[in-house]
Amino acid sequence: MPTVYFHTLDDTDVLSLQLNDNESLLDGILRSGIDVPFGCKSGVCQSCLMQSNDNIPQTAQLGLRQTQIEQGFFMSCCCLPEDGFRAHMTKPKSDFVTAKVLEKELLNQDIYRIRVEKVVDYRPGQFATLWSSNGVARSYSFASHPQEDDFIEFHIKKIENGAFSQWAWNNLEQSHTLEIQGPLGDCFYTESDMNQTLLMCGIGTGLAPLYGILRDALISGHKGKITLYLGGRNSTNLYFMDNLKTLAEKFNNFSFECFVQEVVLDNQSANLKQGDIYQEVKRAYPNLEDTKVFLCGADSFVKKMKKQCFLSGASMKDISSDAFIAFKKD
Amino acid sequence: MSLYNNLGGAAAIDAAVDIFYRKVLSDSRISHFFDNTDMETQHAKQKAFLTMAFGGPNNYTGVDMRKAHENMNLNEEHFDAVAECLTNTLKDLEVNENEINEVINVALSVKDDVLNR
Repeated sequence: MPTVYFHTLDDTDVLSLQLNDNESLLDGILRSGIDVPFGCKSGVCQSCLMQSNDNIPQTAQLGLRQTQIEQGFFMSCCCLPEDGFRAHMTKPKSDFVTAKVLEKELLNQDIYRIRVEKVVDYRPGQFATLWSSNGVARSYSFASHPQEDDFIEFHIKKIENGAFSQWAWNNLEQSHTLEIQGPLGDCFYTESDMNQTLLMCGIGTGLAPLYGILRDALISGHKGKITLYLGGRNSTNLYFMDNLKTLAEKFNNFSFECFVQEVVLDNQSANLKQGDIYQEVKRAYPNLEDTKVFLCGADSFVKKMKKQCFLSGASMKDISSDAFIAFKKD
Repeated sequence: MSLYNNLGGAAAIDAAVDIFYRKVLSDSRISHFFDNTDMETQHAKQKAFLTMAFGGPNNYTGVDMRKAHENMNLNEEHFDAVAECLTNTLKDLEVNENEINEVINVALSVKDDVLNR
């Protein structure tokens, strides 16, 4: 009869309970009178998800996404844990941390990057919520790599009258501090199948999480082919071309293509073609069965591309996405 | 639960849900109902529906099914389209005819809830 520990969300209380033989963690918790959500009790509906840093029985993670598995999610209804197992309810929010600003630099005419001290651990592609000193919160993706870079990098698009983006551009200077809440989200690379083909598509600062995910895959030694498609109105919307070229030269299995609606001749035009990113992806990848897909950018782009990729045969569990939702006016 | 187990349990649901959802999204009779739905949420709902139709573990009461479909002005044609998608999904998975009929019968049993009659 294993003894297990169940932590309440705010960690103020730890329930220690003894499970009966063949009793699931969920049943044990319910038996002790604690009300936790559940549904089918058969490992299907995932209503009873919990998290743990301990050794999780495989049967409690069947059917979960690889990203969930790597974050220690499991279904408590199918969990017959070993003695000493500790579990807690899934955390809806992360803690706040304060980070010192290291650098602010323009990447193209309207996108800039902010580098801050590495104060949290994260997976490239996840995001954090940044808070301005006057209480405005916006979410941005980690574009850096936690093992390779000793800073955290965010890419911010200057929005006209944007409450956060203009505040940060005008006020945030080196050695100022920024409140950060994160990491959040489950759009990141996992080492589940090193030979799988990876397709990445993005527009605008969707490149930030994709660049993080791409470097994570390459650094992890991913063997399968990786292609990145970027879309934009014209070349001035694109950035990081030199970084991508460097990666493409260094890694044989990586290539990238940029498609813009209009080609304006300038120093970036050599990298891009005129075309519609949806059509180009469809043409290059008519069958996405067994391909892992990453989609990042504006909500409308992610929605449309997700549907297209799913209808082209990508499995829902193989589509990871991070859509930027426009915040309501404060 | 014998039908559910015969079909292959939770693993069968995982195999079926992508195929089924793809068919639903590609069927011009019903695809427009899904233009503004969140795909993850919808995928989870399809999974719950298939689990129920496959005779798997569920807490089906009909209330959610009614609520989800009210004010959509659904008619027989829409219901038939979904039933066809379901049949074709099972055929793709090489489920035998008797079991397909069993699944369709379960689906038919929720018809009044779906159509809010």
